[in-house]
Amino acid sequence: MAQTAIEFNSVGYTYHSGTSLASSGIRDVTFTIPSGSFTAIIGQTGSGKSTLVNLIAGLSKPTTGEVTVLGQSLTKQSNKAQQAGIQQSVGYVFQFPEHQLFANTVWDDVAFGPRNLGWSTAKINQQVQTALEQVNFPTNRYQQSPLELSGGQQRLAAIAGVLVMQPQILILDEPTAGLDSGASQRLLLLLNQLHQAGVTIIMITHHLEYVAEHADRVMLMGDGQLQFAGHPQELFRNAELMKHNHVLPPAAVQLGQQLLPPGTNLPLSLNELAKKLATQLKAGEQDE
Amino acid sequence: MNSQLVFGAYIPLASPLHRLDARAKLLMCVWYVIAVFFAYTWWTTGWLFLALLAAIYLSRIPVKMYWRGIRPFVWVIIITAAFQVLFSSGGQTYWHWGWMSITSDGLVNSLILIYRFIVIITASTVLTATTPTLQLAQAFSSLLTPLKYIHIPVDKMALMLSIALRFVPTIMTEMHQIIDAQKMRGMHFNQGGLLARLHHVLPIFIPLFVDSFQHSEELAVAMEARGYVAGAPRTQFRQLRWKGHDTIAMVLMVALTVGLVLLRTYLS
Ligand SMILES: Nc1ncnc2c1ncn2[C@@H]1O[C@H](COP(=O)(O)OP(=O)(O)OP(=O)(O)O)[C@@H](O)[C@H]1O
Ligand SMILES: [Mg+2]
Repeated sequence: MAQTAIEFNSVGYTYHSGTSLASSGIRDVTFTIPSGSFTAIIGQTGSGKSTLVNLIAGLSKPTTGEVTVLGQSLTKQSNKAQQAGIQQSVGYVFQFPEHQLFANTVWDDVAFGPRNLGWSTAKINQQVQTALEQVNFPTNRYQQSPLELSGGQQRLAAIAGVLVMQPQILILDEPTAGLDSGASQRLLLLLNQLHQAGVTIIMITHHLEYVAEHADRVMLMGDGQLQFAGHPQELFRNAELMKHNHVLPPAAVQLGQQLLPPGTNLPLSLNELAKKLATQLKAGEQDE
Repeated sequence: MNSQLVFGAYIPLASPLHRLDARAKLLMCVWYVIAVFFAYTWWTTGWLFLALLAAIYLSRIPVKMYWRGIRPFVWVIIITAAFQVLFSSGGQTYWHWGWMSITSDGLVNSLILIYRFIVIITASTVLTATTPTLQLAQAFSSLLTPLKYIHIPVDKMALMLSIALRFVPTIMTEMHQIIDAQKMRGMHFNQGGLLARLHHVLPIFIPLFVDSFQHSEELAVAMEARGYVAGAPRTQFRQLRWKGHDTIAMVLMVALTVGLVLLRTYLS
């Protein structure tokens, strides 16, 4: 049985808590994420997705309730060392991570994390090489300044800088924002490979297509609360809930709902839809 | 990720002070700061402090927020005050060692210095917390309009000021995010000696500078695309309006000053 990687127990987080500007980020959120799963977090702008993952990453402490990440627990009373413990085992690719590049060369930037952890030079060199290969970073640009790269290449370098730490949990906040479709597909492929290798992946996204095709779990946030957690199929079948939270099911699902007889498993990608329609049409021809 | 609580940030509330004309508030703040330099005695400093408390009360902003405004300056204040104590002479000497001495005058001077620091910072916080930055810049350019006749580019200065103020919260938000990102890559700020800590500055400030340059470039392009011409005569969408309560506020300032002068002359 899969182990639990992350557990939230009635977790709430309030920004500027205790001041007149207090504003609620999330409220009373309870869920578990199994180890090695690929979870997508969706929801409208301002629904609390980033607040939620900041808690998973150990960057903020819950104002109420308890967060447990890989067996380390975090409450309002926890100290900085406990937060640092969680931060070390989680990798976090922020939105537009290329804004965090700072070193003179791509290589040095990727090596920043491992050097902070005090790994041996041999290990650092090996891991940096592996991480850059993992993201398919062009080999002839390892020694270039990050500022001379294209936006997409910067993104890859930044992601390599997170992967190099070999996190057991990898969080990505809208990793494909601003990438062309080819680059997005390659990035998702990489995430799939990491998922295969056993990394727990948590991805915030606005693309329901990606959720349908890659995630095995989906969490829907709405108004600071968890509205749904479960399999994407289940969510897509619940048209009412989706509409209420202003998310549209992916095209394949919408078409499937219109074209396929009720009760069939909804297709999660256009490929799947085409196959299902083809079988249906062929069966129809034979009937005539 | 928008509203960082930082020194100088506008706090949208509905208070009597928020309703005042930005020009009135700017004038009052400058006036008050000048008045502070004329207060040495218990009575006068107390009088001005009382006025500040009234302003804080009228702003409806919790005192806690003002404390947050002063907190970043605490070390500067303490160090300046310490220098003042140790290196000024006069009056009774309590202790001395080489050039350094603690004298009664030194103590008094440093107390006045601390008082001025705190009062001035708080007064400017009252101004910036109750006035949207754009209005502040508008007030600034409106009050300095006479300077245009001696060819001082008041409008450009006001624009620079409003852009600078506008980007303070943006840059603070970005800085927090960059710090978070580097933390996730194993950087610990509060560890190591001075040198190690200085090393931590680069991974934060380099991305911050790069971002700021990008912002300014984008802003310049966007302004040009919308037909902004530097120095062209401009109208304002939101007009500043001087109302009755603004005049009352100015009268109160006059009363405050008269009070100050009376206390200075008769109770010293
Ligand atoms: N720094 C902050 N200060 C005050 N309130 C905040 C801050 N950051 C977020 N909030 C509030 O918390 C709520 C959740 O914000 P959050 O950033 O988690 O949303 P999100 O789902 O990540 O949105 P987006 O898709 O736009 O990134 C919002 O209502 C927001 O106003
Ligand atoms: Mg977000």
